Amino acid sequence: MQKQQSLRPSSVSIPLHNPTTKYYDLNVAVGERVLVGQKIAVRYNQEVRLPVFSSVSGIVRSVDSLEYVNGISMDHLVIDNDAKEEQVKARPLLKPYTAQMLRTQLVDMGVEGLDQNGLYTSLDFTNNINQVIVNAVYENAGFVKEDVQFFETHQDALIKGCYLLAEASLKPVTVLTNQRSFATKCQQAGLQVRLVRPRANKAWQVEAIASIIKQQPPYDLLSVGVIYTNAHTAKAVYDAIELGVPVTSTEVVVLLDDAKQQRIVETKIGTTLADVLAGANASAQQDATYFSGNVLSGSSMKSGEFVVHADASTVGYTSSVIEEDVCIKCGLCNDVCPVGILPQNIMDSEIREAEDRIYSYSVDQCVECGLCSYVCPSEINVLEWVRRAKRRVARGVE
Amino acid sequence: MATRKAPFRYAAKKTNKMMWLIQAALVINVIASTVLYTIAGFDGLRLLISASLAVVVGVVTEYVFYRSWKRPKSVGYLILQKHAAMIPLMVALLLPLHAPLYLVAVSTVVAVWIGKLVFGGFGYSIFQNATVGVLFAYVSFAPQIALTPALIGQEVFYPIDVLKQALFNNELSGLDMTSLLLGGEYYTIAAGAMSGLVLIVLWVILSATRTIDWLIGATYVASVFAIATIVGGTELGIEMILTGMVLFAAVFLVSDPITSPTTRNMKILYAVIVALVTVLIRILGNNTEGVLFAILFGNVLTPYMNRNARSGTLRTFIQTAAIAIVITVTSGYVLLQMRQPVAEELNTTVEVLIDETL
Ligand code: SF4
Ligand code: SF4
Repeated sequence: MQKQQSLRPSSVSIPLHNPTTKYYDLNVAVGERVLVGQKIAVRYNQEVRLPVFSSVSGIVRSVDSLEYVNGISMDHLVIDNDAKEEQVKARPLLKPYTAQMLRTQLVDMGVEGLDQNGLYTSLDFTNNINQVIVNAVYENAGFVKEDVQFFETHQDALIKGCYLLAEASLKPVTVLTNQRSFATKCQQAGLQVRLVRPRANKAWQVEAIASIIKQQPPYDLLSVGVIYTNAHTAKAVYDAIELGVPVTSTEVVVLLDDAKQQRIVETKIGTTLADVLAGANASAQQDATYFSGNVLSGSSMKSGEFVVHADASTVGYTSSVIEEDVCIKCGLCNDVCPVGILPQNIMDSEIREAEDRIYSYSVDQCVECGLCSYVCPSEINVLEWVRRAKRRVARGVE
Repeated sequence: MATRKAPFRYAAKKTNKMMWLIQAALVINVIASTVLYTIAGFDGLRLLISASLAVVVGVVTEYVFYRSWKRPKSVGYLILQKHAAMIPLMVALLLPLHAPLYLVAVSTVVAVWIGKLVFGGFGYSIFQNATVGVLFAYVSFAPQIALTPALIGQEVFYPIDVLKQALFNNELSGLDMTSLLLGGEYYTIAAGAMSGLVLIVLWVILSATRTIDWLIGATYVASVFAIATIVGGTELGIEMILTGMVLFAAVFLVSDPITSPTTRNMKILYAVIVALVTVLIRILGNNTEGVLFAILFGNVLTPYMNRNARSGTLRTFIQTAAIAIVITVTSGYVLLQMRQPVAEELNTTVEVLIDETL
């Protein structure tokens, strides 16, 4: 896949808060000059305080209310990029570290909640954690290819990152990979490894996790003491601890026009999707749908004028119009569901509002992988019906 | 503004393509059977005419239905989106070649109207549409389905009748299996079941293109074969498959996604049950051909099976496969034991069961 240079947008708009941390304190003033990696704000809720960093060097222009990817308006700090890439002084953690020191540093460097798409969890060590699983597979959702170059260049950082995760959690770390040579290296570094065979139309991640934790994985893996994260986060862990630099950019897979083309773009946090697309020399048609997150379960917007948030691994646009056909009861969705909860039957009972039947299915086990929708020959959004059933059951239980 | 919900990409939009492939397979069957009947010295063109008539009648029925509901749909839409030609083609292929044209028309109306439209149209049927129409013909127009005196005069017979007689006498039919496989010699009870080979080729194509679920058809045929083999040896197994509508059903009726269960496990059980009832009717029942009744019986069970299906894991799959094998083997042995002494008694039980089902 074509690898793009990292983007140099003329300005970035960094989200100051998000749906989970609704409040923020600004550390800088309009007109002030900031550097790459400078802490510009702290966002918080009752439980956590998380730092927000500048991803460019330049002058703070304003605080604007912009649409976030979920369609709600959020405050963003707009910084004009002077392209000098001046960094703040690195603050590596000095050895010897304790687990607590590592955890604090990860929070201070903004690594804590990096990729939380789908099954991925935050690096939340406060719960009773028994297991850390790092997904280091070259291939993502079957048809989205991961950046092989990333793995080759950062192999050592990645392995060290996984090792640091073990030290921070004081629990074993298991690496999922499909590369034998990488597996050997991980083993030499004292990590546990599971060789997996990723296939399209297969919830291989769910299967791999199930076989490691020896139970059906729930949607919220933290609730069973599992931290599940990916290679990019593992590298960010290494950067934060050993190099002392926070997360200021992410590698996103950009899917152009219904995934006909794919690019990997190193994106500064605060870049709009429109800028990412312009950098990838792509312009969408008039009525395209722009999406961010995961192709099978992310969210979408009518325009590309929204900021790619730090936990988006895939962004892009699609121009295809989806017209649902009637369900032909082929059962493909039932067969593909990794937790075996029969999404077609759930959909059928939800449409008929047959409450007794809905309750008899284990709807809460759905891990929202989106495969049931993906395989449907009639392009029905089966997952959306399962979600409705989940909400109905949740309401009923309250 | 959020516009649409994920996913933003689907594996493939296929429903229409699948339905078109099935219709293409039906048309190939019509053409192949026309040729084979002509080779065998019958009026093969008749099938072409009755298939065309059925399609016209089927489309008109749908058109009138939607109009009368004040929701008119164009003929193009009905054919392209609602697959209005599919069921009529099946009906024409399931009736015998000499079936009078008015019977073809009436059966098509029943299949499309009662089987399909009344339940909500394409995608919503409970009973396999074509089966409904053809069974109606069997029940209400038995004399027209039977061979005409002219055909009998030419010493024409239905292979399935020969098999039935043989089963009754506890013998083999003695029919030439190669001819049944290749087609072009015998006059079959369903015009579209002339050649086993044509059906097998169609089954392979439809399975390979993932248009139909191969497992369900394969389970059906394998179960018919297994039960019959236990009762009367492999020869009987082969005769059971090649005589009559078993292969046609495996390709088009049992594997119909809409009226079969929605989980792999239940599909296997469904196929085994339909196979069991097929053999049961053939060996013990009054009716000559058990396939159509068996499918209707399976359709009755489908909602119940869907309702009781639970998880679809590998373990339950193995369990189901084991249950399926147990049903097949046990029923085979039970049939073998019962066949002679209590044939009469069971006969009535099965009939009652099926009457109730209907
Ligand atoms: S119901 Fe759909 S989204 Fe939920 S786990 Fe099953 S396949 Fe995945
Ligand atoms: S995959 Fe789609 S068409 Fe098939 S049973 Fe599921 S919802 Fe229905």
